[in-house]
Amino acid sequence: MKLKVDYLLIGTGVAPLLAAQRLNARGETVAILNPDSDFFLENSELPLDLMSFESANTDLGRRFSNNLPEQVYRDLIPEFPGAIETSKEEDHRKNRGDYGVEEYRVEGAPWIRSRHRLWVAPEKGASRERMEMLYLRSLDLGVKPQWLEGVSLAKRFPGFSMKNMESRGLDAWVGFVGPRLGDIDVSRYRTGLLEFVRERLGRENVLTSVHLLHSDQRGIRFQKREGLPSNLEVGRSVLYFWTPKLERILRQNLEKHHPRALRGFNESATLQNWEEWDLLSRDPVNPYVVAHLESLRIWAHGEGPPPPSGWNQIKVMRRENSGKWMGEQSFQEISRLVFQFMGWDRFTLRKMTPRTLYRWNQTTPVEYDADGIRTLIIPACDGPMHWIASQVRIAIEGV
Amino acid sequence: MKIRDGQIDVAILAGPRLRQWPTQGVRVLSRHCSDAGLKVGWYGGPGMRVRGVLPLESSGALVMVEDVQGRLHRIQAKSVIKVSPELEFPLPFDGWYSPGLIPEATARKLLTQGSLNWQSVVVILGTGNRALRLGAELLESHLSTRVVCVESVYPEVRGWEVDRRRFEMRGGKIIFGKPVLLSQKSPFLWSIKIQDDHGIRVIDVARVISVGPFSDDSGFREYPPGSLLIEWENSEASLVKDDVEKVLLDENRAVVLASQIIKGLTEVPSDLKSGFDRALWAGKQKLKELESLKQRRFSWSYDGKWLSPESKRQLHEFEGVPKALKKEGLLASIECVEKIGCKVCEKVCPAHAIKIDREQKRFLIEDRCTGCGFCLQVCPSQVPVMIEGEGAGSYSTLVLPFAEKPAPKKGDRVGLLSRKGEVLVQGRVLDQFLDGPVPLFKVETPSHLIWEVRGMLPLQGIEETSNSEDFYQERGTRVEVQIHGESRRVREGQMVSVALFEIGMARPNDILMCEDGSCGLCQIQADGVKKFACETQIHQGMDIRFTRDHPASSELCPCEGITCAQLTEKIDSVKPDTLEALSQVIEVGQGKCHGLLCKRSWIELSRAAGVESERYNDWSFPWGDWTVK
Repeated sequence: MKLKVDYLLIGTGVAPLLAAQRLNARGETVAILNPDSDFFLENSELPLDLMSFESANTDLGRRFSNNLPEQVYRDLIPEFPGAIETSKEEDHRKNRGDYGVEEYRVEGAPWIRSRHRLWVAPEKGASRERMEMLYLRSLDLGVKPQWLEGVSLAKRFPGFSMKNMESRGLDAWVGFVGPRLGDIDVSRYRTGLLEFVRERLGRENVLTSVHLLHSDQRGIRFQKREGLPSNLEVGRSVLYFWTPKLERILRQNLEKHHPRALRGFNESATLQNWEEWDLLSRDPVNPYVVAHLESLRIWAHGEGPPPPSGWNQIKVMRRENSGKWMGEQSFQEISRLVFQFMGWDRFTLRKMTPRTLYRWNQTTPVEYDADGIRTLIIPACDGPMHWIASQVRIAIEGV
Repeated sequence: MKIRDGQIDVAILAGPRLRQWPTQGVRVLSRHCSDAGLKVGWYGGPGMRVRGVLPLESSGALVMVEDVQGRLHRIQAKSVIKVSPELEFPLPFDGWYSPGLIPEATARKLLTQGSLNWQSVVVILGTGNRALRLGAELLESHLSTRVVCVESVYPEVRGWEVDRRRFEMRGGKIIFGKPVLLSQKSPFLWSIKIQDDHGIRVIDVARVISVGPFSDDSGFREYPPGSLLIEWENSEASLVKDDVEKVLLDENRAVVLASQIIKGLTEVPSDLKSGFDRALWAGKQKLKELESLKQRRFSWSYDGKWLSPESKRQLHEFEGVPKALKKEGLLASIECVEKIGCKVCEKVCPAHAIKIDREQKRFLIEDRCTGCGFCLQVCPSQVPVMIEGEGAGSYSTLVLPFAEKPAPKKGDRVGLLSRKGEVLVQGRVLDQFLDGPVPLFKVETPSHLIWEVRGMLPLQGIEETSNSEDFYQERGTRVEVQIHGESRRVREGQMVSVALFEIGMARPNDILMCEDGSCGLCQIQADGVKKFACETQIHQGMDIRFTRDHPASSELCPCEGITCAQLTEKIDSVKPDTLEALSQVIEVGQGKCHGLLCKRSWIELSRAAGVESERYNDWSFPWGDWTVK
């Protein structure tokens, strides 16, 4: 039996789920096709804005305001079917003095954490100058940054060991604490959304592992996971959500139907590689701060409830520029962070995940006609989760 | 930190806890791949620790290897084969994660290195060939006088008839039921409850050994599909005869796997193509045969104590059995009716009297058989016997292999056993041949029983004469150590983990004994320094303290504290399509041991709940916690 839907959404991550939720609320019939084997395999969705120095300098005010915990909440809640927990440092300190599992009111709900941003740089060098610029811009914006040096800087850094502080040359580092920004449990948010969308659309309208997608006059033809050929008649539009995992399919489509747009994408989007390191330590960690140290972003307590006592987890995101995953430079930077700066005498690597995402300059959807079917490609469906949500919302409102 | 970069076509890697390196399967695989012109590398064994694999988006993967000097090697490989040992734990039940339940590898280590008291009942979970053979070895060595194999997954015994026969003839018992509770009664005594159709049996045991199989052998799995990133469970037997079934499977799977890799990476040169195709065809045929053999196990049928007429007919029609006996002169009778494919007896026969054809039937060429008895000594299941006498007289002669100690002497009376271990009659030992690896005994047997008797049992009290201390060799003098302030005497030079089992102070964390520290669970503080118990030797005056003490547990994933109910609840709510997706929403298998304890269980439970899991490999990096100093 041939299926007919108003909108067909093709994507690998959370973006088609958000779009489906929105369109479905408008009373449209929707189906989702995912060429990947599941929605959880998209690794370009992040809990927070990684905020590199360069981009922060150019567009700092907007980046700060977009990442405020209240804004993150506002971006994420409309499509989410359940509760999202929010939590601030003061709440924890006031109530229990620490992040506790008891803090959760709804088991399994995603949690928006509010954490200060801490920028750190060596006393001398180009990065210090960039950081100073950032500090001054923050002052101008009225976010009351606080300049830190020595022990006061060290105390704010997540995972900083107080052992042998004298011999570690803390004077060589300076930094400042910026505003408190929000981050979200990606996995919990995606899980809740997927569960709801599947229930609303029915499992037959949310398909994974589809392949050999192509359009013709009768609609979209594809093969299901089991290898069965299927045809889906599309009443209004086909929407593609651009993530790194979907790149090959999208490039083929654009090359065929809209080569000019492909050139535009090539000029506006550049790939960024990040290594996500999960380190374990017995040293106490400060979970209320996300630190920026050159190409590294460091924070403690990632997703879900806090880890059991005894071990503390530090997440380090490292921008990979050398084109070599886990190369010499990766180890040098991590070793420098852990041994020289944080002062651990060893570290245990629990996990390392490579992540690939885009840096977008142009985020306007592209529209073209593919064999009589109106097709839209929505770019920038990777990056921080709340950014994806707002990007999808803007795109769907224009559909 | 200096990192050395390298490139290779096929990287074959030793996974965590793999004790034998390279395995027989690895040898065959690399030979076939290098014959086709591919650059193949093995990474594993002492001094070459594989830290993990990072799959690349484009193709292939990065392999991180640490050598004995602590230098890191970063190898880009087009195809990666992770060779893993078979996982040995059953589905969780109350108290499963405790020192009362140990995997086979740990049990073997305790048997060879320790002097644990096994004297009460030993329960083995599983009825595969390895389980039955371990049971037979325990009984033959008199370390334990009662061994029970428990089949909890399949409706029938999973091992070959020949291994079952050997186990049952030594007095082993097989029962069907599910273990439901394991609890400790004293440091060396445990109680296991097994539920079967009739109710619950309670057995007091020295130890429960988990061998399996608890699920069908999956061979090799490629994930993601088409990536040439493969995980392959291999036998860890150092000799073919130690695990014939698995080694044969590995060898033939290696041929099929090699062809898949070669096709994916290169064009086979035309001059090698026909040979390549022939080898692939033969490998696939053998594999098919071995796979189908697992589905239909053979067993003899009985009328009371005796073989049924149908089984007798089958026996006499079988090509490995002599059709006409000699009045004077021994003839071998090769009675493994299943198409096992083990050719040990054929290879060893000096007279070429045994031929095993492509159908894997044994052909005994009676004219050539000289009755030398070599086939009796090499058979891993001790199946062949030798028969003399036409059957017209009252008595004939049988030559039987018998490895137990103490051995009966010439003239002693022995009980003669049927294939299922029942005493049929008494006989007399006429002669003994003690030169070979397995002692052979010539026994006088009533002529009408020469096709029934296949084992013997000394009638002298074994308890009086046996000396299990012979089994243990003194491996160093006893020294005094302090364990949590208590003074204990243990052997110098042995591993702390083995010593803890010997003195009844083992923790659940110590059950894996992985040698390479890959599970990271058995941490102790030895003389104030954190170390792994499985890697640290005992010395005089050592001070041992436990850094963490995990209680016995019933959880599916003891490291992360996740129960079976939590897993199934998550599957029901999220409905993930793949195991990779499931691992994103629940931290099962992502704890300290990186899934070594629970991987098989959570995959089985997920499969039962409808999650696609046939080809899943966990490529998360690293394979075990990696400490960098």
